[in-house]
Formats: sequence, C-alpha cells, structure tokens
Amino acid sequence: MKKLAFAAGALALILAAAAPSLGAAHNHAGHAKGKAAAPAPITAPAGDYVLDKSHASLTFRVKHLGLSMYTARFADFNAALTIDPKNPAAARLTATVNPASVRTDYPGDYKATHANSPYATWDEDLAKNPEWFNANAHPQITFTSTRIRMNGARAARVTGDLAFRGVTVPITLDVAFNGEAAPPWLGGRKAIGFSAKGKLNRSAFGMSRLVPNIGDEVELIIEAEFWQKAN
Amino acid sequence: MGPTRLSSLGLKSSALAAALALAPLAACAPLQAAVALAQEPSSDIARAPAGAYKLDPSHTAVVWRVSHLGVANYTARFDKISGEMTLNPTDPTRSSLSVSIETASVSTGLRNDQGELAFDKKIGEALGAPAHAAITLRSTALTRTSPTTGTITGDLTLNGVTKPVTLAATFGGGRVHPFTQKYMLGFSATGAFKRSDFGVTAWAGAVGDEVQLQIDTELLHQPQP
Repeated sequence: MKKLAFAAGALALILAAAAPSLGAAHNHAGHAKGKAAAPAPITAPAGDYVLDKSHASLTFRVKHLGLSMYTARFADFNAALTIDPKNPAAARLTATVNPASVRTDYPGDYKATHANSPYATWDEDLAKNPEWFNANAHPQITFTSTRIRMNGARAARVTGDLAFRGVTVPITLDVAFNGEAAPPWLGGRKAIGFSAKGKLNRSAFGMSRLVPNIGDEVELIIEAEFWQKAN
Repeated sequence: MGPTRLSSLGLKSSALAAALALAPLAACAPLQAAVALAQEPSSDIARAPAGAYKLDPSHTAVVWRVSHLGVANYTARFDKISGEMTLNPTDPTRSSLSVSIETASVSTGLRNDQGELAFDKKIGEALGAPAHAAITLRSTALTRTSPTTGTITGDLTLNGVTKPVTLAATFGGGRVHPFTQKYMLGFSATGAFKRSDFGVTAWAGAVGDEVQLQIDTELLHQPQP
C-alpha cells in the first residue's frame, strides 16, 4: 500500500483521464445509504464545472412488449454546470448528447435477423433510422436547464428544454447531490457528483415507432461527476 | 407503469368476443382465439407454462454501479450473459434459476485517448478474469412478497469466491411472444453486495465497496419437443 501511495501522484494523473484511480481522497458524504447523520456542509466553491466524462453515464430504459425494461446508453455526451453550492437553485446546466453514440451492446447477429435493413448494426439502425434517432438530420441532442426547484439542501427538480429530433420539449429531472471530494489529481480543485432520473414520452419528439411494443415512456438514469474548471 | 392486467372480467370477455368474431375468418380458429387472449401481457405468473425457460440475451441487461470518490455512481454492464430457469407457475418459490456471466465481458462504453476500451479489460481482470472466467448465480431460496414481487437468494460466485446474495425481483408479466410464439416472461431485479467479500479490492479508497446491481431480463419458454 505504501508503494501505491508513493506512486499515486504520478499514476493518478495518468489514470484520472480514463479510470477510477488509485490513492484518491475518500468522501462518502451524502452517499452513506440509510444513515441518518446530517450531511456535511458543501464546501465546493461557486463557479464553472466540467463533466468528468470517464465517470459519467447516460442510461435509458424503455418497456419491451409490456414486460421488461430494455436498457441502453449513450457513449458520447458532455455537460457543463455553473453552480454556487450555496445557491444551487440559480445553477445553470447544459448538456449535449451525440445520438449516433447510442450503445445497446446487442449481442446477436443483427444482419442475420435483419437482412433487408440498410444498417450494419442495431446501434446504427437506432442512431440513423429517421424513425429512430435520425442522427444524420439531427446530429445533436441538447438539454438546457430553465428552472431549478430545490427539494431540501441536496435534491432538486431540474426542468429544462430537451431538443431531440428537431423537436424541443421541456422535461424535468430529479437530481440528487451525492457529495464532493478533493482527489489529489485535481490539484486542489473539487469534484462534485450527482445522480439524476427523469422520464419522457418519446412520441412528444415525433418518435412513435413500434409503440406500444416498445413503450412510449423512456426512463433516463444519469450519473455524473463534475470537476471544478481549471483557471 | 405496470403491465396491462387482465383482471377485469369485462376486458376478458370483450377480448374473447373479439377473438370469436374473427374466428370464422381464420384458418386455425381455436388457435387464433387462444393466441389473441394469450398475447395480452398478464401479471399472473400462474398463467405461464411450467418448465424450462432460457434467458434472452438480446433483451437482458446486467448493469452495475460503484461509487467513485463518494460522488459519482460509476456505471457499466456485462455483455455476455446466459441463463436458465425452471418455472413452477403454481408455486413460483419452487422454481430455480441459474445465470452465468462472462467476466471479461465488462463493458463501460468508455474509450481511452487511443480509442480503445482498455479499461474494460482492467475491470475484468480486477473481477478475476481470465482465471475466473465466469461469474455465476445459482438460486437457493425464492420468496414471494406480493403477486408480482419476491426475493431471489442465491450463491454468487465471483473471482472464485462463492457467497450468498439476495436480489429483490419484480415480475413484469408474461405473454406469448408475438413473433416467436414462445411464452415469455419479463423480470427486473436489484440488489447489492460488498465486492471485498469476494476478494475484489482493486482501487479501494477511490472506488466504493458496495456494488449495486440493476438487472432487466426476458426469459423464453423452451417447450419440450
């Protein structure tokens, strides 16, 4: 362990870009499930925060044939947050998602079962099919917060405009602040993390393909770590 | 949003009436009528045929989360999963379930600066690959907590260590698959375990000990020939 600690400074810089890293500071504030202890005050400073893309995920689930939740995700997305932790209701959040980065991890042989499809993979079908994400015509999904209502000190309902497939509709996310940390590789800057959940009806964005065999309602599950922006 | 329930007699009889009205037009009238009824999702597991079911990997996701620095719930999944269930529809607690996951099939979806999914391999190794090529779960005790919920306790083998874990399971419903005509079941399950119990301690300090599981799956009936 001593060896690891010794190497941590150098390793952390290398690993931080791609991975959970060795020798990090540990802060479970706000994460200790089921414990009643009051959360520690937030000390992260006001300012701009950037997404740590290596520790963020955008998962969605949609009902399949009325029985199970089909689960997939996007691999390429980004977000920017301007927040004063002492006045989080005034925060501004913007996010962009590359619809062509949808990843279902489909394990089957797509071409064998979709011989007439112009697409090579199920992911490509979802991404490019005009009846699905239509990524060639609309290469970016964007979210821009418009209103934040606090629900206690560490939870909020964040409403914003979601632009998807050329249609802009407001959606609301339930966001929980998980905590903050000061890992050594950030050189004194803070890391803050959030979990968010939300729902939308895809038909509101003109995407009704295969409803109801594939449900209209889409659940969003977002996990995100942000880093205080370097000056 | 739950599956459509066939609980009201009115719904049932109108579906039956519709099926019967169409029957003279169909080549196999009784079969068509049966299918018309059975294709409605049912949350009553007693309606499902007994016997062997196979997990449908195209409609299965095993997603896991671990805390990073106590701030972010790092999320990834496994891609290669197989499983079987033997269903006792009259007493589901007497069913059994067995699942096998390829350890090295960890999928974070994240590429490094060289465009490689390099970290997937590192996590796979931290979970015991290649020596422990499979992560398996074999049910040992099932309970029913409501008509559509229950618990699955089973022996989880991970990194060569076997320990019991318990998942909370929800039955999403059953129906005849509209294309394959096989009876299919949908389930979700959640649970958590400590990775240190299985000797998986890589990145301790930065990465939390608790692993949260979110499982969504479909199982297809395998009628005996």
